[in-house]
Amino acid sequence: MSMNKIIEFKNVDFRYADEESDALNGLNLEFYEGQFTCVLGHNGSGKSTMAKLINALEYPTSGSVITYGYDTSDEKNEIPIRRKVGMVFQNPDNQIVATIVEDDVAFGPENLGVPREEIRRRVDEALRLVDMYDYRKHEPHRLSGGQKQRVAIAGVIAMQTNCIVLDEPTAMLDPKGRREVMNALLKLKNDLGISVILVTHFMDEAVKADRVVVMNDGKACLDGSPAEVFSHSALLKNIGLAVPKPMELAVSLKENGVDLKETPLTTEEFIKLFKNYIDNRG
Amino acid sequence: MSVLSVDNLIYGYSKGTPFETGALRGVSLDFEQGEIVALIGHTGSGKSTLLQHLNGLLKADSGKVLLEGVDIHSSKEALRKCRFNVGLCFQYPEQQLFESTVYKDIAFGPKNMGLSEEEIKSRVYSAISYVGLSEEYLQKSPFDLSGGEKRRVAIAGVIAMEPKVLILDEPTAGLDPMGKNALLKLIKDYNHSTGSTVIFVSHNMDDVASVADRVVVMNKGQVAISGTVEQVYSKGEFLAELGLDVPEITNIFLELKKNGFDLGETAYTVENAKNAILRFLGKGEEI
Ligand SMILES: Nc1ncnc2c1ncn2[C@@H]1O[C@H](COP(=O)(O)OP(=O)(O)OP(=O)(O)O)[C@@H](O)[C@H]1O
Ligand SMILES: Nc1ncnc2c1ncn2[C@@H]1O[C@H](COP(=O)(O)OP(=O)(O)OP(=O)(O)O)[C@@H](O)[C@H]1O
Ligand SMILES: [Mg+2]
Ligand SMILES: [Mg+2]
Repeated sequence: MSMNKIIEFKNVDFRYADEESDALNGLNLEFYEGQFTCVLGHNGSGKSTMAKLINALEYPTSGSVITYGYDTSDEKNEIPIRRKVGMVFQNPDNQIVATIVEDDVAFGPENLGVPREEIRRRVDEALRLVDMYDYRKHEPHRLSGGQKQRVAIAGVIAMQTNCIVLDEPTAMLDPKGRREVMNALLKLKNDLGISVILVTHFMDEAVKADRVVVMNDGKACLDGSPAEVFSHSALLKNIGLAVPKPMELAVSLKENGVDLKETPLTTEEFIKLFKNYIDNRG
Repeated sequence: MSVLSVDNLIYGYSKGTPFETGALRGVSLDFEQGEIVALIGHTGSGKSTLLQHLNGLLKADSGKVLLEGVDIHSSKEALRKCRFNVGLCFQYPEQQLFESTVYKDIAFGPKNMGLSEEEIKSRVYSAISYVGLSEEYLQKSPFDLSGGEKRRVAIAGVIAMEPKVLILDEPTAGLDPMGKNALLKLIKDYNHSTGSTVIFVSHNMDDVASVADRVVVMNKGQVAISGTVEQVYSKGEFLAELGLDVPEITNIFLELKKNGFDLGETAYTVENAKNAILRFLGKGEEI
């Protein structure tokens, strides 16, 4: 199956003003249409920087970033790029633009010229999806940390851009909220074909992706399916990351003579392998 | 006597507007010297609001906060003592960082406490290494850092005050797995070496299980339940109703049970899950 390339980093170096070292260092990376990609990496590895370069909030010091065919270094491409790629920042305070929650969520689709009726529908739907409908008339500045994060997520969901980039959107959410957001993003991908790029530190989110990219010191150091990427457990550990809990448990059982044969990434897989183990034990 | 206690706290935001929220609706809790308490609860349940009462940043509409038995709002001295003895690290580090360099930011608290330059310097250096950042960061602007780096600096600033009660609002949010484990270890070490009380908020049930002596569950501005890790995580269904969960490992054990493998016990961490499974398989003695 050939997939459409939507974003391409070609030999990208990036250095913030007045800094002594590069935040991105020879980054080569491509993203494809309709894919759900999770980006992992240690603190300071360049994930947020990479995300900002995708939609022309920053542009490369050298090399190029092409987003939906537009070179991000060219200023006049900024608007067409933002129509294609919606973004949720790491800190939701940086994202709040209106004084009422529902206006805040409507801001993105308004800018895209979506018809009024349709905006109304999308805003209500997005707010329900993140469980913030009851807060639609509240001031976004006066919400709890997780509530602000939910509003920011609703904003990008309502835009329904071809691609959405989310920078650790679930960091402050309770377990139920985290599950709901993950399901909502998977649904956007499955039902609307929206490409999702999710930066996260949660391994249980990464196992649900089509593809996992691991950043290390400004480069992509691993890239593949969750199973492929997590098979490099020693390397991951070395660069400050971890493997999913079910896998960690299986590995530690194996070290003690209980070999489940395969490596489970999820609870369901663990249970299945454990059953097999018991059945074959005789 | 408890080192810190709150008695029937009631607090509402936006009073007199249509959006008035009963953020705290009668919260009473005692925190003992030297314990590690995790505060969990759904989004908007009042955790951050409660924490801001503990060091006097917010003042309740009614109810009291007692530090070593003294009402923190009873006098200027009492409030001052509270500010220095109860160190709070905010949920978003951006709410806390403001100086031009990381060094100055971490030094801010110790400076206010009137410590000597030398003592301040030594505290700054030990705090930055405590949170796993190299000394090169000290001359950087705290605003020119990644999200996780900012969080580490904010935590260092509070640690540098060596508070009797250390309060951290979602300290592991945004940290990479290694940074997260290091922080959990820091919480234990700090508690161990200083005998201080640590209170932290987390949405990560695994983190809670690995360090907390006691878990307090908030729901809609009230304490829903409180108890040991075992007591609280044995109420999986109740937690689910509140939008919470049990640790991922505990969930594996619940699923094993549903599938006919009753291990006769439950587990919260990979380590104790491994041991329980080995025992179940009759390999317990080999460990
Ligand atoms: N505004 C800035 N000015 C200068 N340097 C910066 C700035 N933002 C980030 N950096 C530096 O660039 C590097 C990459 O940061 P980036 O924010 O991309 O990391 P990240 O992978 O998103 O980390 P985290 O998981 O902590 O959010 C880090 O070394 C960081 O200190
Ligand atoms: N500055 C504010 N002004 C008005 N209402 C607020 C403000 N901050 C919080 N609230 C409201 O008070 C309630 C409790 O908020 P709080 O921040 O204490 O929740 P929390 O448990 O810390 O949530 P989270 O897990 O999302 O951080 C929420 O309903 C929230 O909307
Ligand atoms: Mg980041
Ligand atoms: Mg909070």
